[in-house]
Amino acid sequence: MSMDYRRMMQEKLDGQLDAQTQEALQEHLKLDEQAAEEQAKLETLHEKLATAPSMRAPSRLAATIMARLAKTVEAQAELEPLPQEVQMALMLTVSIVQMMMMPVMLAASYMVLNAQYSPQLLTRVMERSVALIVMMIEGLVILLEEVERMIEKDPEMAPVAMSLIPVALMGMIDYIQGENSDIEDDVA
Amino acid sequence: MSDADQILSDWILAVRDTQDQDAFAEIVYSFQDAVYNLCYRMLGERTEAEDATQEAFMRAYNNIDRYDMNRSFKTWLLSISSNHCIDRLRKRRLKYLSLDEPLPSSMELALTSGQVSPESQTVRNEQSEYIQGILDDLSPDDRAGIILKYWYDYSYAEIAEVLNTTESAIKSRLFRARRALAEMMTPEEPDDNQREDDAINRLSEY
Repeated sequence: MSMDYRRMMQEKLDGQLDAQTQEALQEHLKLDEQAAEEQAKLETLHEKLATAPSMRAPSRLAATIMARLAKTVEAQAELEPLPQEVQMALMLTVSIVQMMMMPVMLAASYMVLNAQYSPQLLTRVMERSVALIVMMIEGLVILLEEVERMIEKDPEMAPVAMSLIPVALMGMIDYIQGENSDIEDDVA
Repeated sequence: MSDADQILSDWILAVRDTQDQDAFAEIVYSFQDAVYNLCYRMLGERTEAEDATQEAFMRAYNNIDRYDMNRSFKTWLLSISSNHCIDRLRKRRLKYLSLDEPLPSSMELALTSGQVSPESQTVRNEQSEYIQGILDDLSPDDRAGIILKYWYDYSYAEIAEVLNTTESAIKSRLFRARRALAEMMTPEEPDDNQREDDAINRLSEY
C-alpha cells in the first residue's frame, strides 16, 4: 500500500478529504484487503477516541488552587525589595551615623598620639571611648528595631522614621557628653 | 466579541493589571475541567493530574503579562498545561531509567485502576480507562497531539499553536500515533458485549 493511500486514510478521519479523493480511496480499499483492514482498525480507534468521556476536575480543586495562590502571593510580598525611598533613607542614615561617630574616633586617635604625656589618662579615655561606641551601636540597634516595627504597621512611615534616627543619635551624644564632663575636666 | 469573551477579557485584565485574585478564581472555575482533563489524559493518574493542574494555573497567574490578548486564552492555558505535563512525563521516564526499572505496562495501569476505583464499575468508564491505558504507551508529544485532537476537537493549526510546532509536524505526529494506537488496540480490546458482561459480574460481587 502506498504512503499516499495511508495518508488519505488518516485525512479521511479528520474530514480533510474532498469527495473525489474520498471516492478514489474507497475504490482502492475495495481492491486492497490489507488496506481495508487497516482502515477498519483506524475507524474503530477514531470512534472510540471521539466518544471517550472528558474527566471533570474534583470539586475541591479550585479552592486548593486559590489557597496555594494566596500563600504564594503572600510569600512573594515578603520577598519584595524595599521601596526606593526607604532604601535611600537607610543609606543616608548609615552615612550620618558614620559621620557622627567620627569625633569619638578622632578623639581616641588624638589621645593615642599623645600617649607619652599621660599614659593613665589614655587608658581611661580608651575605656570610655570603647564604652561609648558600644552604647551608640546598642542604641542604634534599638532604634532600628523600633523603625522595623513601625514599617510593619505602615510602610509609608519608613522614610520619616529613618530620617529621625540621626536626631535620636544626637540626643544620645548630648547625654553622653554630659556624663563625660569629668573626663573633660581631667583633660583640662 | 461575545459577552462571554468580554467577561473573560475583563477577568484577564484585572489579574494582569491589579493581580485581582477574585478574577483569577473565576478563570480557574471556568477552565479547571479543561486543564484537569488534559493533565489526567496526559499523566494517567488522578493525584498527579490534580497537582499538574494546580501548577499550570500557578504558571498562568505568574506569566499572565506574557499572554497576547489577540490569541485564544484557552489555547494559551492548554499550551502551558501540556508543556508542563510533557516535562513531567520526561522526568518520570528519566526516573524509571535511572532506577533501572521497567516502565509500567499500560495494561497493568488500566487493570489496576479498574480494580480499585468505584467509578470503574460502569462500562463507559472501563472504556475510558482502556483508552487511557493505551494512551500511556505513546510518547508525551504524540499523546498531547491525540488528546488535543479528540478531547478538545482542535484543528491541526490549533494543536500546532498549543504545542509550538508546525501543522505538518502535527499531521505526521497524529498519523503515527493513530497507527500505533490502532495496532495496540486490536489484540487486547474486549468487545462491547464482553465488557458489559465483565462489568455485570463485577457488580454482582458487591
